Amino acid sequence: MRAQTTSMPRAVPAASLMPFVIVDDVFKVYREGDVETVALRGASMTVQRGEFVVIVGRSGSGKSTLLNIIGGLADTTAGRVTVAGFDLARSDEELRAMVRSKHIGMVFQADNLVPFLTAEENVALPMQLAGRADAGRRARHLLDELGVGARHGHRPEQLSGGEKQRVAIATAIANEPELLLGDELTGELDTMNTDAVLDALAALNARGMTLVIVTHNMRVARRATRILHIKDGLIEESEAAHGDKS
Amino acid sequence: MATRADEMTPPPDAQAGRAVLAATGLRKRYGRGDGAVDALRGVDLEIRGGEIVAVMGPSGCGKTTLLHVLGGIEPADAGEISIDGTVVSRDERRLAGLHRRTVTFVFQGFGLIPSLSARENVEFPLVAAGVPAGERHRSSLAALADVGLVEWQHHLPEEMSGGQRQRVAIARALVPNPRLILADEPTGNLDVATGEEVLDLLITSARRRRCALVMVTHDPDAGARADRILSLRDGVLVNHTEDLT
Amino acid sequence: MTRGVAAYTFRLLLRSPGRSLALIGGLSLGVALVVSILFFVESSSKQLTQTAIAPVPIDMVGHATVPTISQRQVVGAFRRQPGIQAVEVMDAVDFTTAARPGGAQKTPAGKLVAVDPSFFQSFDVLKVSSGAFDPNGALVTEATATRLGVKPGDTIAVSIPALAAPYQVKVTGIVDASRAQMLFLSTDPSKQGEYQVVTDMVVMDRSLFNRALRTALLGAASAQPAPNATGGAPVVDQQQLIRIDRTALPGSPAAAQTRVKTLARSLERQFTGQIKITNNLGDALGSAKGDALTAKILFIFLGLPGVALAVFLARYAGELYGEAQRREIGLLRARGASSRQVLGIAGLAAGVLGVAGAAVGLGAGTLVTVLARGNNALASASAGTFIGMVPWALAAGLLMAVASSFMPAWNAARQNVIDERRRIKRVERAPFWKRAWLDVGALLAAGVVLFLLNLSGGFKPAGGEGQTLSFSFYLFLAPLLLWIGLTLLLQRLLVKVIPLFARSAAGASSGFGQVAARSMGWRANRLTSAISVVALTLSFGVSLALFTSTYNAQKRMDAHYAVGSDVRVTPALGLAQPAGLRQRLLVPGATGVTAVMRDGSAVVGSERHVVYGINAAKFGSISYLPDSFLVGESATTMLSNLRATPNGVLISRDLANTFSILVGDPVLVRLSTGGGAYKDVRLKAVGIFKQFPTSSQDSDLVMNRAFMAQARGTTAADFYLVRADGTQAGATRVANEIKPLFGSTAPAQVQDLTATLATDQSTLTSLNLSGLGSTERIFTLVIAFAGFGIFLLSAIAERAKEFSTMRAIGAAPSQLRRLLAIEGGSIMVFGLLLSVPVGFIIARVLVTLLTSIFSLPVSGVSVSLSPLLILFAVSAGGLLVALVLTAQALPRLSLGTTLREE
Repeated sequence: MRAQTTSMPRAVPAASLMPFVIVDDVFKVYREGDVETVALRGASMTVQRGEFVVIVGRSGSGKSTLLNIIGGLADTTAGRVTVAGFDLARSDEELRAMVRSKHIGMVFQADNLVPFLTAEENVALPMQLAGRADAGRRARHLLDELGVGARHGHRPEQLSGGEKQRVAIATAIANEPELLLGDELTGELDTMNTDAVLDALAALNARGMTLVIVTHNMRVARRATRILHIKDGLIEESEAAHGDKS
Repeated sequence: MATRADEMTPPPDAQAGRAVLAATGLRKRYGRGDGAVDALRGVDLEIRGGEIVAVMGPSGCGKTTLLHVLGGIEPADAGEISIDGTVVSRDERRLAGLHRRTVTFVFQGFGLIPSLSARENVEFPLVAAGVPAGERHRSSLAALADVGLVEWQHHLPEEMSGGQRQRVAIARALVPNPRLILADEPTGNLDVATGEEVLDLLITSARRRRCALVMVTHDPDAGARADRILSLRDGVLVNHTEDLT
Repeated sequence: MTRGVAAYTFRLLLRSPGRSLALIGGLSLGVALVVSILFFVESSSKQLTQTAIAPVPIDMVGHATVPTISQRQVVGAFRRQPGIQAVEVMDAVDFTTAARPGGAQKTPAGKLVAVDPSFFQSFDVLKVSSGAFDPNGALVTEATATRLGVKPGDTIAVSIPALAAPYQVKVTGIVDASRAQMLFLSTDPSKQGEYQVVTDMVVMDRSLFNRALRTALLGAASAQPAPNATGGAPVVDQQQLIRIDRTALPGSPAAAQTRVKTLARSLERQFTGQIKITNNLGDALGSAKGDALTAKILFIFLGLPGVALAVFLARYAGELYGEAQRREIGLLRARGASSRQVLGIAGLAAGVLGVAGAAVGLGAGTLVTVLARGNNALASASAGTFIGMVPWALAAGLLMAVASSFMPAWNAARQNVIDERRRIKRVERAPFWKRAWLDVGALLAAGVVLFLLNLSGGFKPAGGEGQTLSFSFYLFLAPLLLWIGLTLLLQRLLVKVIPLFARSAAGASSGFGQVAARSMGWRANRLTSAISVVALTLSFGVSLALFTSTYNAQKRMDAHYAVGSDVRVTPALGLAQPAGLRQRLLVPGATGVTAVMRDGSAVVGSERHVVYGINAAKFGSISYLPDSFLVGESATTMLSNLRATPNGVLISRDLANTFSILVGDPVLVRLSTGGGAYKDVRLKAVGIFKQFPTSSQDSDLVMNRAFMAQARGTTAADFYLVRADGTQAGATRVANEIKPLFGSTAPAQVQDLTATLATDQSTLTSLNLSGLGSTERIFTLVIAFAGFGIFLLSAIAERAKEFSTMRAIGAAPSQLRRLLAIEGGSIMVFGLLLSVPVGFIIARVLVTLLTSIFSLPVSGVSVSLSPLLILFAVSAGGLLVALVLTAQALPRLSLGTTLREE
């Protein structure tokens, strides 16, 4: 059913027996003027270390909101979210920033990169913010690994969509997070670029990184170890996952 | 609500077979140099009067670009577009004039002017076309009646639900009596039930007015209700009956 | 702060040059305004210094306090002192009288002075008007020559108490000593510190004096019992007249005074106990010092609203990039940046922008100063001036950078990251000032200040010329508070009024007019900001223009009041006047002449008062007597009442209050008839005045001249008022025609309007505000232009999607331009209309403060139309240009990009 969890790069405390991500009965309501939009209505899910989970849903189903909540970028209206043992729903911004910096990398559909920084500078940024000394060298190394090393000196506007997303992935994993969150990250890519990005994700998963990706692209879903469906703010476990990591 | 029977009505005889809009060899590229993206790489198509066409394909395949190019929002880099047999793509001014009379839009994000009431939004294309006030008033009320929102005519978009907003947008697309409506994921921002209602309204309205409809969609149900599906992948039409799974 | 933060910040600033430049532009505008004002303050200060010291003929005078001092030694030491340009010695001796030997005519007491021939080159207080300065003879003043009827070649005998016999000397020339008043301090203890007016003088060469008189005089002095013990002057007053290098003086009166005082002390120290320095220059600077401070504060307060506007504008410019800034901050936080790091980036960026804005603003302010006031505006500026401005420019730049760049980032950093990414419409909380009702508070506070000002009786009209003003500077808060209050109140009201207005406009129109009206109602907040910027900027310009025109009008009114008419002619006392003088004064250009009689030692009750006698029939048409000078009656009525009552008298309000005199009451006055004799007259009060142009200082009683002449038994007029055409040029022409009528034999003082405007300058009335006006006019234009342009550009940017949608559903580009034109035009019209009342209110309050500066109460705002029209025309032109330029940006909207769904 689920792919074998490969060994983690870091020492895992006893808490590792706990699921790495727990979403428990989460509600999220947006208020826009007088109109209330319920994005999540009691969503629950767990993700174990090393999983490659794809959440499928139509636009407006609440999948982006769910991802942002897992990433500690948004508050929940009700419910509990735990990532790496930290209760994000109940922590302050500083702790969330620390969790984001150390444990979570995020890739969005677009606008992942600071427009005035080169590819290399973008990748180096999270490492510099975390005070790592070898930021530049490691940034170049990550770009090479993702096959965009030749483009290190280019600004986002000079990159193609696939290149941008691969740079974005490099940026997201720069601080070696255990969890990578992707929000429709192949949404603006053509087939060839989508495959290149998916290959990169598969390689990361093979090295033990936990992936949670939301999409409505079945091509992405095929790579997952587990597929969840989200519909009108509720998560349903899929009957089956493909599980073939080709 | 319209019945299936309505939808099964064959395309109107007068318009049938004649192309409202024809395009050949459409190409569109964004950016330049290494970062350039070819959104359209040679698209040929023909939309016949009154037919309903779904354009489907994965994200980023160029669907929206195709719609923009067909609707005259963006110029094509190469290729020709003709409306009712008149080539319009070489003359931007004529293109704009013909397009305005012939083609209207429905957007995913509704595209309503936030400062205008429902009726004023519907009236806007007529204002732009210089239609006299009395006629504008009658036509816009009729169009709002068609989408069942007469009693909402004085409300601002922000006071309406997503489904209502899209219905106003449909009324606005219908009011100039277009020959073709271009709809870009018209149900993309709506929940499932509302989406179905809106889709239904769009298709029945188009059918009733014998107006062609080209809609970009991800929704297999929407595709199923079209006369024809155009499948776009990486900037080219691959075949006309794409299997999504 | 980590290296990462610094690197990020510098890349942010360098690689989005458009944003950095827009912000620096906004900041530098504010800094430039501050710098321009400082330049103006600097040059005004310099101007005050110059005008204060210009009339001083002799900078310092040293007096020997012991008779045995060696003048040569003192002069040598003084001349070696740096900063001293010239030192001349002068020995002076009092004489009791001078006469032709055996002649009957005698002069009153006078002075015999001895100077070196070089004295005439070093100082121009004594001017040889005929004959020559001869080492073996003496010069006499014109008054002496006239009295004694002597001419060069004649001999006169000078009686000096210490000498046994009068000293006889040959007259070799006539000297004009009209500028020599400052040579002698009064010996009268009751007039200590005042100068002694000496009309009769004998001027001789020191070599002759030393040969013929010194020994005798000093011998006599030592024979007298301790002449200095009682503090009286020594027999020979040994003086050193000192001229210092005025070009080396600092610009500000205070600094100049300090410099001069130091110099005087160091001179005295060289001859401790032997020399006492009278510091004429220092005294003059002292009175300018207070004025300079007042001027400085006045200008700063006049300019502050402009600075506030610039801050507002910078903030507005910052908001243009608010969206990009929020997105970047969201991204930074998604990448794990802590709040401290985000704030570090924002702070560092603000710091760099502030410094850059300060640097650019320093240059721009200098440029504007040159543009507005010409190259010589900087002539008075030194390197020190620039260096002195750097901290101010830096402080202004940094403060504004915090307001425009850091604060928005700080707000963005506090918001939840996700809300930024979702671009959920932010529900705007009412701003702090609105919740705290700061607008109403500021207006109330302004009201309280003005009320207190009124309660304390307002400012007393300044009595004497050249008096130092002591302001309570909190009074200047009133216009500033009023301005802030009106600014905010305007915003509060506009936000409410615009939707109402838009709704009725939309109801009354159709088509694109209606669309535009709806759009404006929808964007009331944005529109309010734009209208406010335009209205407040222009009201700033309007209030300054009104302030300046009122200042100028008041200045002229003051001058007219001081002169009494366009020209005042005062013949020398006690000298026979040319026959038919009044007729002869009716020179070409003069439209009327009236004689005025003055009795400076009349007695009312037991006090001495000044009584003027006028020709009530003519006075009204020749002098300037506005109704506001009088109590209860118009000038015409009061003068005709006086005319109808031969023994009628007009009384000053002060005097009327003191003696409880009402109109109709009898007034007993003892008029002096010369030689200590008096004649009692019984007058009848026919009117009460606040001011009367017979004199700006001592008009106590004004009666009919004919009645006064009859009572005193003399018809001689004391001065004449001559009316020209009311302009400065006319007054000058007439004065120039009149001057030659009086030869050296019968000198007269001819005081005209222009000279009064130019020389009455130890007070704040001397300042030329036109430079300030044109400087701030430039800023009004630039701020209005920039603010409007920014509004339009941001309107296009934030409505890109709406405009594109309109295009997509059928609107032609020309129709969108029309939409923008209607909205922009409404902003312009509203802004222009609102600026007038706001500007007027501010000007009214500013003008109230002026009352303290002028002798006359300020009756209201003087509206001078042409500067206002220029202001409006130029602003409207600028706004139109902004509108046209931004409308050009519309067709460039990329529809495909803006309409693409997320």
